[in-house]
Amino acid sequence: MTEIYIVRQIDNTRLTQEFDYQRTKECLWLMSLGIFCLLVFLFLAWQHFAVIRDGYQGELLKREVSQLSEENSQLVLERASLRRPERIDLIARGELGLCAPAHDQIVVLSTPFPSEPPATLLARSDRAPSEPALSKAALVR
Amino acid sequence: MPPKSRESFPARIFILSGFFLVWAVVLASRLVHLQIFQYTDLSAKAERQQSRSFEISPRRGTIYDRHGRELAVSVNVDSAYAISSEIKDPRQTGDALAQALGLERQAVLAKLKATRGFVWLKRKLDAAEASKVKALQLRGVYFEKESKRFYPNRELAAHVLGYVGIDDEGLSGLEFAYQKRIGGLPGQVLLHTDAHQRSFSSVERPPEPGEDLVLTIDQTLQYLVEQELAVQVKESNALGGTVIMMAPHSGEVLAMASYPAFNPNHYSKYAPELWKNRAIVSVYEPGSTFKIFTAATALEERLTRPDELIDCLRGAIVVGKHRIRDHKPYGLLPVREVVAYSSNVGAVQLGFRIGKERFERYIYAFGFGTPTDVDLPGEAKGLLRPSSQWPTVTLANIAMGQGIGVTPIQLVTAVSLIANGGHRVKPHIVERTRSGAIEKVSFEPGAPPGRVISRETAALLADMLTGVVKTGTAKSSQLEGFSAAGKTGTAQKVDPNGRYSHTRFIASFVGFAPVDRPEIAMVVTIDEPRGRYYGGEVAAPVFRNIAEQALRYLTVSPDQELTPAQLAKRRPAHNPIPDLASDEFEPANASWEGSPEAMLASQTGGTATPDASSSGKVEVAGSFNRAGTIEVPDLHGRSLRMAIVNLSKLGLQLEAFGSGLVVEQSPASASRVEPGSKILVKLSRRH
Repeated sequence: MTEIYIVRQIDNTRLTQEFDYQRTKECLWLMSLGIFCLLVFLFLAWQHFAVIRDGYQGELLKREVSQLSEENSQLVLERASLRRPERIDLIARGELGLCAPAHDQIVVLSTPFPSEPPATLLARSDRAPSEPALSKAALVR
Repeated sequence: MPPKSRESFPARIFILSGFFLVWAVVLASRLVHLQIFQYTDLSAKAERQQSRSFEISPRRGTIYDRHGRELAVSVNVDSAYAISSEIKDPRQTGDALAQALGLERQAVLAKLKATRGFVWLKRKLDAAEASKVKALQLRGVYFEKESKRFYPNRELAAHVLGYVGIDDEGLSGLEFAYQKRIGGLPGQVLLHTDAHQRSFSSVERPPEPGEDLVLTIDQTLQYLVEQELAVQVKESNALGGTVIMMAPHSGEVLAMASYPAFNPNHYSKYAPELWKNRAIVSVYEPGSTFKIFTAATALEERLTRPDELIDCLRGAIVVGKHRIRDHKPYGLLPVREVVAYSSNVGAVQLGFRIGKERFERYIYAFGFGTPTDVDLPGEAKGLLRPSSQWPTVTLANIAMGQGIGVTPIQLVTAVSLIANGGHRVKPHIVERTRSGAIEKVSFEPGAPPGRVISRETAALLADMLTGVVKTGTAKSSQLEGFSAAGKTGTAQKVDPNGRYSHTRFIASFVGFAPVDRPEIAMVVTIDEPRGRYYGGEVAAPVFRNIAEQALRYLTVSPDQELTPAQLAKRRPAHNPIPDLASDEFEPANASWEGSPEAMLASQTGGTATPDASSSGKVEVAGSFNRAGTIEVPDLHGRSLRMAIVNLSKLGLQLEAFGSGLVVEQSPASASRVEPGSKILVKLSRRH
């Protein structure tokens, strides 16, 4: 049995697809949406990793703060140990050869001194050196 | 063949889609299984792997002295622990740890084998131990920071401060009494870690640090007191001793020492007996020091006068079946001398005049028989039976300081009352607490304890006690340059058979200085001195040594000239003292001669020339002439102290301005001025 195939040539080269604005618009919209989503995703990912990175950084700084605080406490302790009266006494008496002052070697100052004498005072004192010019004086024993 | 391929295309799509579908289903199923069915287990496991939660111990408050110097400080140190399940070879790890930590090998191994989880290896390591263990880099061995208490001054004020246990709990002293305030509250931290156990985020509830304590104790005075007490206890071969120094107007305890002491950094290495703060827990019979209060009561109730003569019956009085004797037979003595010479017979007669109920009322008013409520724990209230239970002999005994038990803190508080014009003060050690920038006054005086005796009686007593120091049993407590009032006591201890011992005594002294403006009140007790045992011989010198230095340290102006006897006893010239105020030592030619002879010479107008036999003495600049005028020395470049010393030796006064070294003076050097003239000097730190 012979089968016959008829080939019919169809020339549709003249046919052109009509530009579908709607579809193009949809595509562009979808593409924009996709890009937007991608950007959002990338932003979130960046943010996520930035948080982790900052977390490491933060923990590092916390450790540093804690370490510095500890060092500070140790320095306070060291300072307190160095200021120990027993140690100072030993150095003063043993190494520097100091001893407690005698009764007449102690000068008790009644008030803190002003930083500057009144302008006229020195001149007056120069003129009359033997005159006791002032009432407030250091207590000298 | 196009048609064939056209037919197979959907099939392949179908197969591929099917494959993906199956893959997706499997994946989804697995996800559902993991996320829903195994969620609880897996999330818990992840939590364990990625998160670590632990407690952060709070910083224990620092304890400062009154000038802000640290007495107790907490520092974070490493504690080593192990997770036994992570250790592959416990034997080898145990050996290494035992060596590094100085522990028994078997003990470490036992710890590692005892559990598969957490186990402390050693807590609060010192720096050397921690670095040794860290250097080993052992798997399964970790460190945790824990707060450790340090007492940088070691034994200083140990009984006041107390100590803390391994868990930072105060166990004694202020550490115990103020545990709630200085202990703080622990915090909590949740750490998220990665696969390398590095943390990348944490959630923290910070710990609340404890409050700092600022004490009324002065570190320097405390040291001074402890040194003098230790020297005397050792010299007199005593069992121990105690000294309390108090500011009589405020009740601030400036120093409180007990000897023997202990180092609170290693308290467990000392016998528990040494942890006891004798100053507040030791109850003893005060002996003659109590005659102060017998006399005070009699004077206040106008039952006697200081100059009333009391017949001391040649040294013995019979009370019931008991004969009470004096250490020396006295005849008629005025009341002030009954106190000065510490006559038991005289005191007993005053006691009889007072009577039981009235005496009891005054004894309580003076603060005996009840705790003083000082800030320290475990204070004893003393021993005082109700007057209804006193037989006649007890009244007699109490009048002379026996048959009643007091603590040193009660005694010094009661004497402060006399120094304070009759007003009671409440003794306290904690001045304020500090939490960050917030300061809280800890000591609230509350309702004033009130007046116990009148100002007049207090003045009469102060005068009588001054007599005790000047001419009575406490002559060895006379101070150089300062007036003092006080009373000695020599109390017999009670033997195990219940009788008063003739070989075991407590020597004591209680007093204050200077008399007119008391700055310090002090009690000294020496427990069982060997050889010399009288309060005047053993305790009074301690008072003198401490009070002289303390008053100078407190920059109290002397109120008395030296007596000839004191001048004669003076030590020779001291070493030159560096001028610490100007942060540099004086030039070699600026040292002064501190001998009394030179001082007297300068005061009488003689030339202060150095003694050839003495070393380190330099001629004082300036000179006297026969006409009585004085040549003003050149003070340029000298410190204030040296300028004052130079001028005082020449009988000149000084008026100073500024600080540092002398840059100007008026009148100029080599001018001649009258004795007693004032020389103006301007000081500056810039040269």
